[in-house]
Amino acid sequence: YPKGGRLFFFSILGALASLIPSASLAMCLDMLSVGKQNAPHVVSVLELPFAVLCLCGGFSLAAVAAVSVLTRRSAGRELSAGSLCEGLDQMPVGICCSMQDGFPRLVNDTMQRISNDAFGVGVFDAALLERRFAERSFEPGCEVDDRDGIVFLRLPDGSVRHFVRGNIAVGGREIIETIAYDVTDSYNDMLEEEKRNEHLAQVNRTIREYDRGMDRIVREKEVLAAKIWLHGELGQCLLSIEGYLNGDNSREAVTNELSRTVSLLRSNTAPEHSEDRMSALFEAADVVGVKINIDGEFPTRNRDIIEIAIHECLTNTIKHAGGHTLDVKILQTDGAVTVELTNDGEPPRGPIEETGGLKDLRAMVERRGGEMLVEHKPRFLLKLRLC
Amino acid sequence: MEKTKVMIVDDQSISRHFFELTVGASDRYEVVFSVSSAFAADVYLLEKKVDLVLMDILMNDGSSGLEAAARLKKTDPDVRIIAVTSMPEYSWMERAREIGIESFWYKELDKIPILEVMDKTMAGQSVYPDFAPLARLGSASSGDFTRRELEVLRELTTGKSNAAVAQALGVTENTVKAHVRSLLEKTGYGSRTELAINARVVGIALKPDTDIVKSD
Repeated sequence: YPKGGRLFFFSILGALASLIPSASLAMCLDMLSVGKQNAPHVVSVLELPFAVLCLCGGFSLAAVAAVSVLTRRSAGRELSAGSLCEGLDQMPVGICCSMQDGFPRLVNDTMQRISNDAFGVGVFDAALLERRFAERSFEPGCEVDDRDGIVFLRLPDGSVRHFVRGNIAVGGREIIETIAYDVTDSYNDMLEEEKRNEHLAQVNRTIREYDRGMDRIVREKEVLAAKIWLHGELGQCLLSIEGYLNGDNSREAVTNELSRTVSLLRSNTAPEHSEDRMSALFEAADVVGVKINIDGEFPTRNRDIIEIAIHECLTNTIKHAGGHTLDVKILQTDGAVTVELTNDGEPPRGPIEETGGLKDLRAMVERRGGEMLVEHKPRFLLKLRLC
Repeated sequence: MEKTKVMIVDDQSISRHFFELTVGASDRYEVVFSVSSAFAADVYLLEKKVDLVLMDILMNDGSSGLEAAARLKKTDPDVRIIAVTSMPEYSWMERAREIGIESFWYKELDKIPILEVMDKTMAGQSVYPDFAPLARLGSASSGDFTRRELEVLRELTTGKSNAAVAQALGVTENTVKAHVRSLLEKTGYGSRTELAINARVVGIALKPDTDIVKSD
């Protein structure tokens, strides 16, 4: 009930309630004046209603004052509907509570403003606006960012809103509650972070591309350092010759130094060995008296694992089997590579314990999603299956 | 007196020939093997006894002299090894010590002649330089970086993201970012690309060990 209405009601009640005691008091006063024969009447018959009225008025005022005090005390402990509305309108989030059919029951100013910016119309039918939201039908100047169902809406004023919809029960009825949070700062920070990450990812891609040529550059640098050193040796040699011509150095010393320097110069013009590790394996096998037979083509991928497997089997052929031939069969089918390695030496006496090189090889193969099998009967067999 | 049997492993013909001449000129040593790849170096030890190996670290075929040295030690624990290089990559000396390589020599830079290092090594001494040669990286010297900064730099040269570097080194991503910032400030480079590439070219942060079989 409104505050003023209560006050009026209690005032009337107070006035009526005070009528009886006022009238009684007036009659008592009159009777007292009649009792004193010679004393003037305190209150005449014509003055009785006036006295009653005065007394009523006094009691009424007292009642009004009392109610006013009581009302003010209780007002300090209660929130009025008006102040609630005012508070909601001041909030930075947009709030809309609507019925299931879209009829809005509570919409704050912020939400009205958002609706006008996004849809060109205020919240009069929440269900309609929800449909437009789902269809991404917004006013020009709005931008939608849908990240796997999480939607951010940038409004023409630059602010970014994120909408959360839920159902709440009020008085036994289901109410749809929609809240529009202001996530402008967080969203902009997220975009900045994404830009930075994309830039870093591009930088790392560039470094990886350079990396492919960097190994060669680094090794060329080492070769250059050696050639610079050789150049210095040549200079030293020339100084020795000068010293000899001046009588400071012996002929033998100069001759030895010249011979050494010329030999080094010759090595500078000799072709460098190839970068093929299989060549190194063939050379080593030749020295230790083992022939490596390769049947099949090396794949582009996982070539390094196959080379390591051949290296491992080569040493095992010499150390354990006493063999002279290592056979390598490479088969490529359906994107997978199968490699089988056998030797002509003595078969293993029992199951092979995988330690050292074989253990490391298995770890490497399995890390790359491949399989490795080692058999000891009827003879040694190492089988790899690589993807 | 029996000569010390030496194996030379170096992919550069100039260096290999220099070692051959140096060893050949001495009456204390003889070259039994001179090979251009570390990949199969341990196989040679199965054929003939070798007392001392001069092992270059960086190979053209991608094999690692340090890993080959580890395999040699497994094949013959008594063989002595001198690691040789001209690259100032700071971590190689530490890795060489872990493997048990007896001595370390910087080509073209070390003041001690290689023959002297060989003599001391065969006498049972371990000869290591006090520190890797300093190299210029931008406006900084390699001596200006902390150990952790050099570790981060080495991971950066492979093009890893900050998160991947953090995971590789067991630190937080923010720590990696701080180190990258510090490296850029010290070197004066404008980007991590410039930093990574130059670190590789200069040779102070070469690629970490690749997915090659590692010995125990």
